[in-house]
Amino acid sequence: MENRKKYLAKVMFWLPSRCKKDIYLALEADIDEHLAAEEDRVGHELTPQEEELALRAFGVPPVVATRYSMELPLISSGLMTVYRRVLFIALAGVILAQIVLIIPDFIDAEAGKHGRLIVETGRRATWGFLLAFTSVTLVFSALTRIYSQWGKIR
Amino acid sequence: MAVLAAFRSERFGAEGLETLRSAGTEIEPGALYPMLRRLESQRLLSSDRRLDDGRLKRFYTTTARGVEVLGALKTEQDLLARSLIQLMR
Repeated sequence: MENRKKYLAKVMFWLPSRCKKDIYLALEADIDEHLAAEEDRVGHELTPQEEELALRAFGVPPVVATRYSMELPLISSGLMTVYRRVLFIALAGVILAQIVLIIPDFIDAEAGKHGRLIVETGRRATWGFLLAFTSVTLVFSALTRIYSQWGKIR
Repeated sequence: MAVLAAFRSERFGAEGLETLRSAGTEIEPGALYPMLRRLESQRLLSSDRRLDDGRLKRFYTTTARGVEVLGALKTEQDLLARSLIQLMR
């Protein structure tokens, strides 16, 4: 029973607090059923070692937590390929824009000021990367939710 | 698809797990149980919790909708298998 408690606690650790209670009840019932089936199979009450083995066979706690959590992922697997491509294009666009912006300044800059220009461009590129990453991720996350709702409506 | 097929007759989780295993579909209990609950929430399975041999168990059965979905999946699978066989010739 101690092993069972520990296992439940390990799974709960990986779950967001808002859905812990519901999942706990479901998981507890399923684990009890699994352990009872193991007892029926071996024909006696499980020893702590057998119980530990049976719980190990149930699954690795973080993986089990993911399986029980019915929350939507940030970006659905169906959109992942498109997301990666769009993200790549957006990041490449940031680099290209910074190169285009730096070339005339770099040519016109006085000697000794090139280093400062490169640092300034690097700073702008970093902000550009962050902005591109955030906006593309937010758009695809919204699309994931819209498609999921659409699937429910259909 | 395998789960919908295995639960066409009423079974509890561990029993279904054995049915799947004996048919060569290996699945962890920690994957099957949440899948059963998810399929139930999609109304493809229905469940009934009751005492059996002095133990409380949840029995699952594939619903009419589940059988319909299973049929559609099987047709798709057959078409894919047929086209692959044709390509392999």
